[in-house]
Amino acid sequence: MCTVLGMSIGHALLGLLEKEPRHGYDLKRSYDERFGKDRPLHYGQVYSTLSRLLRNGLIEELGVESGGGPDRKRYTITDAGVTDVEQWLGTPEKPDLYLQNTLYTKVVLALLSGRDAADVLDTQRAAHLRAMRELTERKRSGDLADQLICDHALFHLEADLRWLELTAARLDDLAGKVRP
Amino acid sequence: MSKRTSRRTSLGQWGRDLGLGIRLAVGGSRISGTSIVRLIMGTVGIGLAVAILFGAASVGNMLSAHEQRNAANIPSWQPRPGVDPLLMSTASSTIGDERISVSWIHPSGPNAPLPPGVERLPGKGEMVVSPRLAEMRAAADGEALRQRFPQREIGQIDKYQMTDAGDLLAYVGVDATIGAESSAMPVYGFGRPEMSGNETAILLTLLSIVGGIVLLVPVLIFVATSTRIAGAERDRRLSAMRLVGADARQVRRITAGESLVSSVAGLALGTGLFLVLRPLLDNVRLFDTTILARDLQPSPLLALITVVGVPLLAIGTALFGMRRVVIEPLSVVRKSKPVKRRLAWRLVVVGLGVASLLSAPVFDEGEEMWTFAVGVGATLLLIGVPALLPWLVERGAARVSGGRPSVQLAIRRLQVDSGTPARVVAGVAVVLAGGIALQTGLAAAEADDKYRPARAAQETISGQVTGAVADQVVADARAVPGVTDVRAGRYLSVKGAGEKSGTSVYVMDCAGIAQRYQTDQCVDGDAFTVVPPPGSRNYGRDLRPGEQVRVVKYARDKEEQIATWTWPQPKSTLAQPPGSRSGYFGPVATPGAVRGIPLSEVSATLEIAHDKRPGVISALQAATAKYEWRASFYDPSSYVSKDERMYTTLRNALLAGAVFTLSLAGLSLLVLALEQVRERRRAIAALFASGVPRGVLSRSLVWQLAVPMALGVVVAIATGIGLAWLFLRLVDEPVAVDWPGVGVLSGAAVILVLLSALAALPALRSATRLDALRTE
Amino acid sequence: MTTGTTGEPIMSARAVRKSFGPTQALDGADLDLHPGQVVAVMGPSGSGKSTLLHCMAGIILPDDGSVTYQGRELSTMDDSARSALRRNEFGFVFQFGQLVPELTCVENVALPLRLAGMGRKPAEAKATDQLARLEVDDVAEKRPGDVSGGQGQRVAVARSLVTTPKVIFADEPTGALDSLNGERVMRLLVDAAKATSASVVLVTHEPRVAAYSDYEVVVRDGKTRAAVGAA
Ligand SMILES: Nc1ncnc2c1ncn2[C@@H]1O[C@H](COP(=O)(O)OP(=O)(O)O)[C@@H](O)[C@H]1O
Ligand SMILES: [Mg+2]
Repeated sequence: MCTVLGMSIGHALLGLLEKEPRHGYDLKRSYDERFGKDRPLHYGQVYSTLSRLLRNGLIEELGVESGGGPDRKRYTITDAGVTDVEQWLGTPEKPDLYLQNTLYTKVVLALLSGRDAADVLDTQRAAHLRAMRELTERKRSGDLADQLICDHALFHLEADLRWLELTAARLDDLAGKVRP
Repeated sequence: MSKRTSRRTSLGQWGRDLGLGIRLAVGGSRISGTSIVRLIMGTVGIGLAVAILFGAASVGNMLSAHEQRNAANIPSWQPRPGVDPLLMSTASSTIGDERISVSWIHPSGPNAPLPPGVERLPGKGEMVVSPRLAEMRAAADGEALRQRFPQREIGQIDKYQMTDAGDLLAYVGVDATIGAESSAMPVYGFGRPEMSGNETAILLTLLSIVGGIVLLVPVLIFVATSTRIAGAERDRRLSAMRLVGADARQVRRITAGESLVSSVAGLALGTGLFLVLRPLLDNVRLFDTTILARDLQPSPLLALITVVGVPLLAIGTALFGMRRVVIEPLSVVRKSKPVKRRLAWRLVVVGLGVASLLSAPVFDEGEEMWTFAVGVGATLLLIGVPALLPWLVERGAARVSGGRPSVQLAIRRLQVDSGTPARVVAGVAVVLAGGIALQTGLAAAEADDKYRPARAAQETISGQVTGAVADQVVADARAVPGVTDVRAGRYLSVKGAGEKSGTSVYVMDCAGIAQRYQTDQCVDGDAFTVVPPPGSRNYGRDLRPGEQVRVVKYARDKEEQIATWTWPQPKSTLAQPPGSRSGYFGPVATPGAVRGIPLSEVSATLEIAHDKRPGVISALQAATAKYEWRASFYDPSSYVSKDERMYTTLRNALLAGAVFTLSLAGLSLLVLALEQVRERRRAIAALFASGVPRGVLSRSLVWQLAVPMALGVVVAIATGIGLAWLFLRLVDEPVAVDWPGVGVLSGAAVILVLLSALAALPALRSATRLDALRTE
Repeated sequence: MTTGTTGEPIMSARAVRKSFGPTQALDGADLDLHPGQVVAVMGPSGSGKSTLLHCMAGIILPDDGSVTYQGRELSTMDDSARSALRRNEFGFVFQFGQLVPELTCVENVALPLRLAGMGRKPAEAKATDQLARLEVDDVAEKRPGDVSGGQGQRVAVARSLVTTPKVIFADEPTGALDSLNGERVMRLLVDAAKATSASVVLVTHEPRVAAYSDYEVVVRDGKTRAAVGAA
């Protein structure tokens, strides 16, 4: 649930390598710990990404340890790789517009069909709050990374609720105008 | 050049900022209730101060007008060409416990002078009286007076020409026989330049200084406190002004402008009050002096000082009150760690006061420097009270660290800001200190016999009769209901050969001698010598047995021999009985021993014993009215000395002043309490919501006022008694503290605290309502 | 997830109505408070949340309806009994300005204990403990005016907890704080309440704050709405 979707795995691995050279297996574990609790990476995903990075000259192999198979290789970041990470961090993400969000669709449809806006709101608030409670619980027991990720989600959920509340209030106003 | 322009703009800026302050104070639709209260209280305070100062500035004029009229009323015996002298004999006696002066007059010719204020000389059977006497005679209960003065009233003395408009005065016309009376003087005119500076004036000056401080300090404190009302709100407004770009100096100027409004309004109110109150004060008697409205003219210089000084003072106070406050654009910063109050200069003020009072004996009593030293000393000592109190309250509060929650709340509050409560309480303390000083002085004065006439002879009325009618008067007096005994005595003036001043012989019958000197040896025809008690001096001289003397009487300063006489061998010496007060020492003779001397030419003194029923003296005076100037009576026990009466008046004035100032101080305390409740509305509401009983909150309010007040009372008692001690030391009087009086004044202070706390309770109650918790 | 609908409620409001002059602040509000649980009272500004809290705490009496605490009807108690109840059984946290400005923080926290008759030393020792639990023992000797908003609120929470109340009423306790400080206050408040199994009535309009609750009640136009989603 706390996974940040749409995140570039390549950039994440590059970022992890920036601190110190690592084995592929290490990288996968670090990644899972920080970003992938709900959706751990497959080994295949890791090695295909690493070979893409190698091909682009963003990382290089540090040599193979004794008895080495493919998973005994250590990788390190190149200067080009560091530049790439910097560029990535410095580029703003395109603000997501939730216009196509299902929630929006649902509310608008419900209202258009003459259902009570407050009911929709209440149902949705209960669901949202339930989710937010879980996140809060998780946040309180988790480490800093958990807190950051959960907060991110919490703020988004809160934004949904706020929007819903405002919409409901607007509709009340509107209803008042229609039926004096 | 550039300097000049910058100066001009800064002056213009001054004006604009002041103007802005003025607009903020009066104009604007958003003026709040509390701002109006502040404006009104400031105005009233300054108005009172101005009115009091105008009154004080008029005292000089009042005294000098009094002095001038006094001089104009002094008769002159200097013969003047073309003037027929007015024969006049003036006698003082009493009506009730007031002194009345009756002048029996007879013009010796058509060109006799008119006394000041008299339009036409009364003939025989007529009189001219002072307005108050006329009023008393005309009153429903004036029957005795009408009998005592049966003469026809042909006019009243112009009160503006009397020394004191309230005096009881009568000019009664009599026939020419008064010319034979020794006390009848030929008066050629009235008015004489008068020497100034009698004792009353000195005492009055001193009292005015103490009284003035006692009255003014609470007023000034009231003014200062009133600027604190809605202080938080004003601070927020000024803060908002900083936000839109006003600098710190401008904020101060705006504040000054605001207080200028109440100053000017107060000035107008005070002037109005003075003008309105002045006619009401007409004929009011104070310190045995009658105030005349037209004498209440402030001296121009003092009035100018008042008009300019009071607004400056108010502005100064407002700015001074802000010296620890920094108005920042986003908030008001009260410098959280205020400078610790310093003790040194406060002690210097008190020390200088004490030193000044201690140094007074270096100068002669009544001398200008003496007055100055005493005045400055008293002033400094009294100013020391408000100077010392803030320091004491601060230190006192810092020492206390706990106690019950209500005490803790109060003490912590005082630790955060003790200045304002201490200053307000100082106002009360000054009143108390002044009051205690005066009261202690009064108690000492009362304890001293000097101020209380002899009361040993309380059962007797004294009389003075001319010799010719003495026997008739004695007979008439005996017939008055209530009179139990009448004894007559005469002082014979006798002179030995070639002697200038001579001595006197007291003539009294044996019954009188027996009673007065407690002897049973007296037989008519005897003579005695009375020896003075140890420590007293005989101002006359004893006669030698067998000594030939001339018996003389005096008429209009001329000596006239009425007989010659030989002093016989006295039968024995007599002693004054212990505890007796009416002291006569020297030769005493019975009537049998002075046969051959025409006693009808020697005036007699009467001692009239009575059964103490009320009105005996009035009945006596009425029964002997027909003797006119020939008989007068007074009751020593009812006679109250001028000093004593002044002290009574003083005590009343003190009480009135104390009530006035205490109520002002109480109002200041109330303002303070309300302000403190207002400032903490939210905290109070939250405390109450979480179940803190209202009682704890109310008690903390009481403590908050009571702690400084208790310190104030202690300081006041110490200062008051100290001041009285220093005063009394100057006049060699023992200190007798009037503890009940001190108790009453201190009790009043305690009641004041309770009352103001009580009056603030509704505000506290409303703060515990929940409005304060709402977060809109 | 607990919906809090099991067991006997420690406190409940039924059909509570309250009007201030022409304003109908509450128009039939119901709320059950279960032991050891946190209920969030949500709703737009002016909907009657604070009024509901005041009625439940016995600070004001409803015009109509009933509020019971441990089976006792609050409206049958007199003013001093309700004061004593608030003092002994309840704790309060408001948005701001509830601390006595002249008292130091530790004295503020000790105040309820002192009022209950405890001596100064033990009361302040206990208050210091409580301040430490809320991670603000470093400001114990400062006055409220000299500490930050977040610290002040934590001192206020300490004060509300120091008497180990059964119910804590918190009216927008984070309303004047930024997110981080708000979270911190909420975390400490809820942890402390859970530790002593106190119930909390938490008035807020912020969903993130409400997320600290076990269940929520929504007030709109003076009426509570059934929690639809929970059913
Ligand atoms: N003491 C009061 N006097 C008058 N009106 C009040 C009072 N308390 C609350 N109200 C009104 O009652 C309504 C509900 O207020 P409140 O309970 O404070 O709302 P909320 O806390 O949800 O913002 C509002 O319209 C408010 O103006
Ligand atoms: Mg509210």
